[in-house]
Amino acid sequence: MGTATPTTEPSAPRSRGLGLHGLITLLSLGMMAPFAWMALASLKSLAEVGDPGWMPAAGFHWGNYAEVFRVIPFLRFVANSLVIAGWVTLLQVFTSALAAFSFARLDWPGRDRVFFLYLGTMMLPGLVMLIANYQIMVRLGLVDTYLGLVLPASFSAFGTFLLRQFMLGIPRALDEAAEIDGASKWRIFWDVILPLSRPGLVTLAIFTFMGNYQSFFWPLVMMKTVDKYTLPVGLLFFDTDHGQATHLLMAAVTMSVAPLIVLFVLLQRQLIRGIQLGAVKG
Amino acid sequence: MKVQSARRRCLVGVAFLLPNIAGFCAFTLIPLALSFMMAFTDWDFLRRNVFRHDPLQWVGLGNFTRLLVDTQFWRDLGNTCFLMIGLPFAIAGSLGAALLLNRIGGRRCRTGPALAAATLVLAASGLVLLRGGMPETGVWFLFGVLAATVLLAGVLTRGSVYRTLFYLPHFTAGVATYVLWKKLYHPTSGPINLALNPLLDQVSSAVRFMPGLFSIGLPLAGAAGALTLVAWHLLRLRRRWDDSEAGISAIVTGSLGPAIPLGFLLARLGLPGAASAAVALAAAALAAALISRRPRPWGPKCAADAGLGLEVALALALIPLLAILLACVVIGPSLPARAQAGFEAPDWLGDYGSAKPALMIMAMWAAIGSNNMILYLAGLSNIPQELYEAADMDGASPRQRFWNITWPQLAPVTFFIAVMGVIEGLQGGFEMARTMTAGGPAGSTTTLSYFVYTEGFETGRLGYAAAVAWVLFALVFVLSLLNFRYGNRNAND
Amino acid sequence: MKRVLLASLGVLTVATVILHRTLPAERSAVPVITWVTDDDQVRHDTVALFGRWLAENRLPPVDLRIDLRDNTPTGPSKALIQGVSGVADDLTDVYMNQLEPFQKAGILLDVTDIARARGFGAALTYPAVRSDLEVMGRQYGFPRAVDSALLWVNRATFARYGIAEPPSRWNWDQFEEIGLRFVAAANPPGSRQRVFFLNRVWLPLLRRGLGLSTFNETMTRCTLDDPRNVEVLRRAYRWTVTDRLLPTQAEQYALVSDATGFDSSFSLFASGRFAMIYEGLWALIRLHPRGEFQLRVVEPFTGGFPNVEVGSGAVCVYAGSPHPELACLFLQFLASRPFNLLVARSGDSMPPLPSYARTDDFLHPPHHPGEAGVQEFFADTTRDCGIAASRSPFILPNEVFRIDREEFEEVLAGRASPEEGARVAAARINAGIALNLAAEPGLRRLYRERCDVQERIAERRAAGRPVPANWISDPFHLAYYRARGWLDKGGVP
Repeated sequence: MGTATPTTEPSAPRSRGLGLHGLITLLSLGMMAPFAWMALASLKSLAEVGDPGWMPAAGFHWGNYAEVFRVIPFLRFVANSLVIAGWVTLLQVFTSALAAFSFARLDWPGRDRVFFLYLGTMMLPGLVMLIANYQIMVRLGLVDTYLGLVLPASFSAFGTFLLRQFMLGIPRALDEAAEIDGASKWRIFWDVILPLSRPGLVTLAIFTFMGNYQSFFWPLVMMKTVDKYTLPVGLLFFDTDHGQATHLLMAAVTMSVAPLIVLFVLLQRQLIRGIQLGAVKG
Repeated sequence: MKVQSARRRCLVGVAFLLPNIAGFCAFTLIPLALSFMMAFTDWDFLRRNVFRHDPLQWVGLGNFTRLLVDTQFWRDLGNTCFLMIGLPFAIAGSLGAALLLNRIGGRRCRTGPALAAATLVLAASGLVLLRGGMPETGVWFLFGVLAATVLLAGVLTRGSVYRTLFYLPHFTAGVATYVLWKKLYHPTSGPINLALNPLLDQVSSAVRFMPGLFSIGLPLAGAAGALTLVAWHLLRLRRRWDDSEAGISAIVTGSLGPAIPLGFLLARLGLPGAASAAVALAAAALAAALISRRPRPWGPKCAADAGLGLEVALALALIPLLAILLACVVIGPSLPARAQAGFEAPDWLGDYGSAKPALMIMAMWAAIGSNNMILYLAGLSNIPQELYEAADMDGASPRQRFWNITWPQLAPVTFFIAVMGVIEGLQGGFEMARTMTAGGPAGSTTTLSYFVYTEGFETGRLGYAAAVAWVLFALVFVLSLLNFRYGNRNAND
Repeated sequence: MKRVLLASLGVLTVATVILHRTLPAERSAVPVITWVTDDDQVRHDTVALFGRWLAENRLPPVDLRIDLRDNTPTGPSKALIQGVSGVADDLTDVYMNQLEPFQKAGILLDVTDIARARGFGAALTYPAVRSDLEVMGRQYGFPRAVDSALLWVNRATFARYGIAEPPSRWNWDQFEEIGLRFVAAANPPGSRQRVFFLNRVWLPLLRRGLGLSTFNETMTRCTLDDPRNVEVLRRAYRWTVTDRLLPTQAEQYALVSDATGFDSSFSLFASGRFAMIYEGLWALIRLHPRGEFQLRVVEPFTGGFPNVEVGSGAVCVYAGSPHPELACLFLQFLASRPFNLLVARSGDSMPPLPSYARTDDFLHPPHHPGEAGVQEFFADTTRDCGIAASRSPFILPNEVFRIDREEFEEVLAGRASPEEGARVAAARINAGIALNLAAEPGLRRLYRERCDVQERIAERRAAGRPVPANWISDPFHLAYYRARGWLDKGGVP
């Protein structure tokens, strides 16, 4: 990786390089095999999906992909998922950064106690809060709205934790200098800390986005209008409409994974740097 | 620099916190408080909701006392803990993957040519496949092409493509992964058993050919392996005690580790449960006593709980290993008789005994290339290069370099991963059980979170479900606290 | 970073506005009511026909829209959570085991009076279906389709292995005998078994064959600890584990995206891997896309008393619906001639009004010559041997179902003997009854009354005297008593 400090253990002899490549390639195949099966199954006909073989024996059914778009408003679902996950990510990154700044850089009485309360809530199973949260959504009139999916997911203790650890690693001298110049706390946050936290923010953004793009149960119980379904919920259509259309399900999943892979490939350098700069120092 | 009043500092601090804390209160704290109150009531949402208003009754600790005698709860708690055994191995897997990927990481990466080459090769082979029809052998061709492409791209990008590939399982986390693995585990048509069955046929014919080797040799080998492992473990404990690296509680934990499989072995060999537990505990106590009564004439005194975190982790890893070796001892003698009928590959998700290990294997596959690997990769590149250079000057072996530099330097990351792993492990399993096994067979894969779901949302007893969830919370909390107390200190050593 | 944040804020805002703009119009000139159901052609035809029916009867127009039903195991939870929070759809399909929890939660509109006034009372449909519509004598819906599960026979599979097809009525000894021959013929020795005789057995049906119901006559106690249930469990274990007439669960589950495993049995049946499947007439919906088959149906085998379980897909009105009047119009439509003709012509379930199951449209559908006589057999068997499922007012049927299944799995896994499985299942269900009685004072009075009746039934039976029909609340016991001539012809005491 270009910007990462290379820390390959230097004594490894050159000749072992290709063997190492070979070993890792084999392991990668192990990681890819289920996906290969998924992609191949998405090209089978309904009758073939149950067969033990991997290959679609009767030729590729590219039509499955077109069929996905016909059976469900696939693009609509993807757009819903992307926009909802996008809002959650943006809000979570921003509010977590603010809170993390407060926890990491501002001294106020009771700060650490509040922080540990935050941490403690991470340990509570989400299922307990589901009913109570749902009642709140009903009271606020947010059932079957985008806002109802965005709001509850947008304020996380995890994000605050991650970013706090990260900001602790940024040298204090920088913001002290700014403070001497008379900058307000907001200026310090917005002009000094935020730009320096970039890799940490990207890391949190990716983790949040991935998690939210795939969340299932909350959107399931929240949404009523089909046109507002997110992708994981929309995939249920394949369980009912044509029986269990495993081949179409596989085609849809294959397509739904694609944006995530693109996102990851684009941002992986930032991601590694984000964590490496001290985000997880206990 | 102007001096700010405490009041003003407080105000500014809270102002920054406000957006997050407002949402946090609304969507976490209030539901939390509600669910806490629920745990002490008999709230059943079938009887109390918008349409029905049966009076809510405070039952005090009633839900909790009911939980104590609920066999389902204890079974599911056991299942949840059992599934957690995979955690150390998953962490080791992530670490291994990160080490491998890190070794290959180069300075420059040529993504453009790599992408172009990969596209070309894949497109060409796709055309070949389309022309040649789809025989089942095509899959070998496909995998060959994939391997070649990955290798080519790996060499061109100096390994960064592998990172994406290892991270692949994370992209389909959830339903898709579970459906996939259900297919892979299919007892008759799944690829896993299709590969295993010929192998098992070979083994069974080998056993039939040389019954003595397996009926006597395997138990002996298993016993020897187990003894070696235990001896190594105890000697290591003694050395750590002598070096003042481990306190008394670490020694006790370390001695208990091998005692647990021993207890199960004795019970399996026909001893009554209580007796085998007593013997195992006595053995552990003896070992701990023998080690801890050695005087420590030199070196600093160390606290009673020094090194506890490491010993807990090692004991957890030791138990399954010993269990496998001891299983060889137990089943070895009966092997020839079984081989007469031929060995059957397991019915993975359908069999009581194999369903949990099957889920663990899947979880480990998913965990190796997960966020954990990314965290380890970052941790690895944070280690100052000078440390390795200094070690090279001293002529350190690769093993020494790992144990003396890499492992201690990665301790904070390991700590973070372990805490998050425990939290997720204890709360997890709901989606997996829902999609793959419906908690079966015979409840062997019902985790606590699935129990909360069925109690809360199928039978409507929210009060009881909340009580279970809070017990779960207490468990996670205590474990995390221990982890903070002992794991963290070790990490900062 | 600042720029990225602001830019994504802008992009997201624009995207959200676009998404909102492209939502289908929320408002409609006529009132909108929504219906949770499966999204298939017959339902779309139903919606269109409903519009025409309204117009023909000079009723105000209604915009009826279909909302997708979640058929995975989370479906009922979703409906309940939305229902008790006041935000469910106006009309909802209610299947087996869902009526009671929904009714208990108060989310279903009591339509007894309006049904009597508008002519869609429960008396119009099959007597065996009434318990799918009524709880404690109050009506909550009207059936959209009636169905009962029988054994489908793939004639080509039997012909392929040279095994004679089973007779239309048979007992479980015959099943065993034919099954053993079939499995031996279909699976070459030395290889792993791929072909099975039947996909699954339905335990309540086998119990009924021996004169045993899940509950006693008044449904105050679970009777699964009866020796007859032990015999049923023993047989089911033998068929699955020893004789391998039936697949294990994992063998069925492996292919589908949820844990119910329904759909894989259709493909396996179609491809000849299952000689028979136990399903309703709706199986045709799943079979037709897979090709044309030579099909027959036979009665499920029993240990003596022939019976089939009748069920229905009922449509119920949400108690929180803003348009209860209009929603009830739809129920009225379900009892109308056009709708019943539509169902009859679809050929994949029986119309709600029994008379339409005798029409030529239903009995002799023109399109699938290989299925001749199937519909007629369903109509006759449902009329002659159909009995509703047993559901006690003292415990939710889904809870009973779950416990029964879990204990059956314990037996299949070899972890409990049939005696133990039967005993534990009864104990758990009775504990559930006790829990509900403790929580709901209203139930206790009914329970005491029923217990008195139960004692009187026992006295009469001991004395060899007949029992009045209205003492018996369990539908199976009622049918069984009638068949045995144990009922008091005289009337009410």
